[in-house]
Amino acid sequence: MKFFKPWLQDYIIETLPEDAVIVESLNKKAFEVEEVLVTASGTVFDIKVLPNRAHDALGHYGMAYELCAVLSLTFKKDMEIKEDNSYLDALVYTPSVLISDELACTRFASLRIDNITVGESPVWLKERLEAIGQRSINAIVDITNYVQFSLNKPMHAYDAETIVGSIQARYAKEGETLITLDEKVLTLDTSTLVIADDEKVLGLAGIKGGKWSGISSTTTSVILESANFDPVHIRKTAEKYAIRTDASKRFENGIANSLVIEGLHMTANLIKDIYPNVKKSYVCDVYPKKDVPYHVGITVSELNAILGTQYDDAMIEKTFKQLSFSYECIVPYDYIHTLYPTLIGALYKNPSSMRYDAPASFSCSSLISYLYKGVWMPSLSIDKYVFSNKITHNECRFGDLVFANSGEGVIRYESVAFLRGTHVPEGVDHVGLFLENGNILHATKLHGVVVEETYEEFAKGRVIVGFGRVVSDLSEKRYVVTVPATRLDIRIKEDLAEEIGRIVGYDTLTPLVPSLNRVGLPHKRMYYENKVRAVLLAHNFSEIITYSFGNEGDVKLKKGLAEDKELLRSTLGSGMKTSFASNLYNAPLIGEKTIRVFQFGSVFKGDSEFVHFSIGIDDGAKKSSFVEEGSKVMLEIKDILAVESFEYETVSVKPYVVELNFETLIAPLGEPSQYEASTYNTAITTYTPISPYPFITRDIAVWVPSDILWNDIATIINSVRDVLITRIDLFDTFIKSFEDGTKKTSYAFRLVIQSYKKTLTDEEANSVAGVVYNALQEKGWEIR
Amino acid sequence: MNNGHLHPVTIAINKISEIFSRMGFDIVDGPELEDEWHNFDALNVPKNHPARDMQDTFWIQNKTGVNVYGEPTGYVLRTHTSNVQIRTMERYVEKGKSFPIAICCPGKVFRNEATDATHEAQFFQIEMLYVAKDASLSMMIGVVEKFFSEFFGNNLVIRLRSSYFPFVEPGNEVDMQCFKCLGSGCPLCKQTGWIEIGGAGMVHPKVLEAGGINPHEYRGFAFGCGVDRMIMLKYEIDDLRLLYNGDLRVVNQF
Repeated sequence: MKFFKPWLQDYIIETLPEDAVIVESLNKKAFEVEEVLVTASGTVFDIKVLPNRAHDALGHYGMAYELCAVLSLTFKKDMEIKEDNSYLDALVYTPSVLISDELACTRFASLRIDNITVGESPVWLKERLEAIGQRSINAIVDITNYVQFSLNKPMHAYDAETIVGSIQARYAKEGETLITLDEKVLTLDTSTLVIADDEKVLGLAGIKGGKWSGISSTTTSVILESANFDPVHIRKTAEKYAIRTDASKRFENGIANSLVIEGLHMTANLIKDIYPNVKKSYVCDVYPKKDVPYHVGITVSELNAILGTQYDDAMIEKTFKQLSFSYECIVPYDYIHTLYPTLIGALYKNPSSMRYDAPASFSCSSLISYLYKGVWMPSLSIDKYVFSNKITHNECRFGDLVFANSGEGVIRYESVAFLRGTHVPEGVDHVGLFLENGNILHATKLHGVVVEETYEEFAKGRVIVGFGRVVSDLSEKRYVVTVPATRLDIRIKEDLAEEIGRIVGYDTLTPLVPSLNRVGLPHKRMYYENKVRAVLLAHNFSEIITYSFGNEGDVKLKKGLAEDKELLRSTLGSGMKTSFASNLYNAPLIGEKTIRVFQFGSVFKGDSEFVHFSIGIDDGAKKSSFVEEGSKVMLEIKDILAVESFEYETVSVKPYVVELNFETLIAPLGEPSQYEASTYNTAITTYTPISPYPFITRDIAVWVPSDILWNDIATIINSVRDVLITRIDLFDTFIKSFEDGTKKTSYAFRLVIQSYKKTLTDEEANSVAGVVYNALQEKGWEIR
Repeated sequence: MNNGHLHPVTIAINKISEIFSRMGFDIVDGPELEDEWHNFDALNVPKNHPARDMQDTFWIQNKTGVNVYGEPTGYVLRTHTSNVQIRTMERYVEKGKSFPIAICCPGKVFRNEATDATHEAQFFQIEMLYVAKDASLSMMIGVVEKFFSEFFGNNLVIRLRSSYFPFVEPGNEVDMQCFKCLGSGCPLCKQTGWIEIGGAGMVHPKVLEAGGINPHEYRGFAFGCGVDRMIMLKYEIDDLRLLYNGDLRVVNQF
């Protein structure tokens, strides 16, 4: 998303540092800055906000908070959004809102504003939207957009005159259609959540508005919609109708319900700023299940164990302050001690949620979670059992847990939300907490409340399954952060470790190497592959790796890169074919008359995947045969692997290509017991690029006195060699005795001529070859 | 007499394997055709989550299986070698092998995205995973620095940038000190002294759980990077697409 520096500056007390400092800090500590555009009105940063921070940082407001954290700046508290009732008028009709499914629409707030004349936006608003690539439409629409890009809260405004009755978030009825603002007609199905009034569909909830209720120049009253939706529902719907908008993107990542009301107030206040004479209604805020803040805790030792650091209290406290995180320090021993007596007698209710129902009511399990504030643990009793470190009854001390099968609730024999599927044959449905005197505190259906009982009373009628400890040192202080509402990404201690690590700076970490005191084992297949490679290298074979997809095979991709690349190969054949086609053509350039290649690669057959192995030999000549050479090489491979059964398929005789299932072949072989390093070393340090233009060859044969060696000739050629000569390959040498008793040697060689810049003409090639020709003739040698 | 040539990817994988093996890491392998559970869900990339969009995926038609819980799962060409993290953990738990887990996995991966000189629809990655009671982010840095230093033949340091990969927390982008100019700035590192090279972090507790390991007892760190990118940098290869056409004009240079 694009961020405009002056817009960010609005929220920050200190003057923002120069662009380079902002970019560097964000890059290291938070987000990648993809582009920086300096304009006359201010810098625009294009910042890549990944899904984990799309909840809070896809708006200038949240990004300003982030800048405060990474640059140690101060967020302007007076920029926090407040309700302004100076223009409230009880006579303005308050819209009524209905939600049909509170899981799909978690909050919906609305208000109406009268006395509007829709016109152009003021200059500042236009400038800001344009800076981040948004087109100005009219003041009302621009304000809703402005709020979206400030607060990360998509907003919608309807012309109040077009709305009949209440505004509803409901599922579409069979056959309903919607014409979007951009004139697309959508036929809706009944699993699609829409915004509607009593008569018609107004928009695709959280994704796009409809045409009929849009703001026009005649609009005098608006109804504002500020809602929040289930991210999965939005994602599925956006996919189904192939509509992705700035709004849907935000909802499918998930945003906090708190933004619903803030967005509504911010929108209304901006309208009031531009049109001072407006009047607003009361707010209708439907919010069925109110969010409760998350508390996430971490100890200094947990933090240092994760990061491998020696951070201290002061460092943690300073970082939390930079992040604007409020926190408390909790010593679990003291906290539980002080808290538990106040809970005795509290109502038993199952299920109870630690976050929503405590301390009014508890289940056996939510009681434990509540007492261990800031210590992450799974909810269910059985999951707590699997999660805790097992101890014996004798080891139990204050704060430890006792697990039972009491027949009180649902007896579970497998963990559900922690290490899912872990078997607990005894079955667990109950948990209690050890007190100092050995008594057990627990919430029980039997008494209907939280009680303290002796262990014997607790154990009576219940099968004791085991004992567990969740915190090894109860006297160790924990930092328990009240997670800011918009930070949906912070839920576990590792998240806090990341926040502290990145803000303090990962450059403060000291590299450590684990002492494994062993040499790692090779992978069996790769080990034997290298044995085969050694044989093939000795026989002039080159290794190729080719594409896994093509137009042959029986496993199909839903959508490939192209229609002829939608099948997964079932053999290595097509790769070998492609390789031969190009390499035989390029043989002069490669400097090999005969092309020898091999490859290892996965192939796909039905439900299985195997690594196949193939070799191929050819020289492109019509009558040559490489069956014998190939068979000999294959036999050597059989010998080096020491396999008894060795079958391969002859794919073709010309070119000679054979293939086999390498995994089947090595199946009987033993696991290698130690790593063997490959002895192959490449001499090159820098690769020479391949010219995309065709090459031309010129063959020259020259008679020289018998004391002249090829090296001497090569030296002469090199001294006059044009850069276009890519290769010089000697292909024939023979000595002939002449009648006069002299002996002469004939050297026949090939010049490969190629340009990196263009296709050469025959004349150009001739002139390049001509220079070589002349140089040899000047020596008095006869060109044959 | 060796007149044949190994593919540069093989040369790199052999060298990488050798380095990790010396550090005590076992070399392992995993399937290229992978179920959705091992490629995504178990790696904390749930269905219908925007994190799935971070990697363009080749989906397999008409093929379904079941995950460890007996739930239906689709198939993909693996988008990363990280599927091997889960498969390795499963194997350790199933066979009761002793910890630490220390593995390196080279392998082919696939991305359904437009190709150009530096992006191929198939390429090779390596994955490094360490799971033990003492795993820390500092230890990840130590292992990765040692790896790059030995691979590029200079004492190189790395730096971490904060980032997001669903299977790690904390999650990082890894930059390596430029092996060519050693940080002073050159064309290869675009004068920055640093080269973006991979992703890393502490294994997310949910990922350990999905592999059957209790995150209350163990921690892990993981690192991954592109083999193609490493050889592209090392040998200054200008077009990755030439690596997979069976073209000996390329291979025979190595």
